[in-house]
Amino acid sequence: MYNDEKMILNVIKDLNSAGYNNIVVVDDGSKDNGYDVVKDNSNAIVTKHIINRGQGAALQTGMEIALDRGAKYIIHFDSDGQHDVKDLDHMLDTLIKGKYDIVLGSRFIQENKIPLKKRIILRLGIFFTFLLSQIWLTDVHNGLRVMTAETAKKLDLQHDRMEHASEILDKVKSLNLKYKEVPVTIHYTDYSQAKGQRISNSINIAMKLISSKLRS
Amino acid sequence: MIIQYIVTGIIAVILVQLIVRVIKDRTQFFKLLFWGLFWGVSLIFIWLPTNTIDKLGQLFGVGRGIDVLVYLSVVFLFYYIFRQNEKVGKLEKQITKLVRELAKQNAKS
Repeated sequence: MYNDEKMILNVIKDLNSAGYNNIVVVDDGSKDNGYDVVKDNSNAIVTKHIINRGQGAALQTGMEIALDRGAKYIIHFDSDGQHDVKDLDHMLDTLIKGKYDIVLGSRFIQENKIPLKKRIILRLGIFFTFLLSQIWLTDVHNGLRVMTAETAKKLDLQHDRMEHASEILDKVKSLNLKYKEVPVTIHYTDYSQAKGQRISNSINIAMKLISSKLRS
Repeated sequence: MIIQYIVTGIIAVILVQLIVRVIKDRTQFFKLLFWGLFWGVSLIFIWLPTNTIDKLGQLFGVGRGIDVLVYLSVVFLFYYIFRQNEKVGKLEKQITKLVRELAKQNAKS
């Protein structure tokens, strides 16, 4: 969570009403009072990065806390309200019944109203991920994921910022994880759009990935 | 040539700053030694007669001696940037580790 104090309680409430009660919220050094808002108004486990370390770092922290407390399955769910809790049951079901290691949300399989500029960049991202990791997906920067505890342990995210999304896919491939993509709904509200990734940042992400690929 | 005087002036300012810093903090003595040597050698090259440096250039097969120095400087700078980048990356990882450890200890339900 980063500066999502206005949204986070709705997200937690939605998750609770869908029956998901073991929630870990990591405030990634927000400038607002999101941490206190969650602590005082919800049953979620909440903690704070005292300085901003990026989404990848926050996810890793959250996963470690969940694993420490004995989680069997772990879901990555964005705090800005762009994901839909209605997708979770199906994803979890797919994971368990199909004995998958990880199930990834994709906004392209089903009709979603994605702004054109974003659509182009995401397509390029798909191609780029294929070049780097030899894994062909329909959506590479979707934050909605469901995985087993075993998978979460193996992922061990090293990229602190947005590159973690590609890092996860790279590891899905290199660790030979059994994966499946399922269609999910993304809510492109004004709120999530204003907060979302700037398109210019995609170049930055690509550069970092190439340089880390060269080093490994 | 005027350029020789200008560069000499700049190097003099840098050296004075270095010396002042080491007087304030003696643990930085080795820094003074390294950079003093670096700038000292630079000064020698600046004031060597042109044809002496050019002989150096011919030795390396580059023609003008000053080109050898420029090439070497560029290589050195790139290497230096690379090392600094590595260092920053490592620091970032350590900071994340620290921040994460604190976050895990302070997790509240």
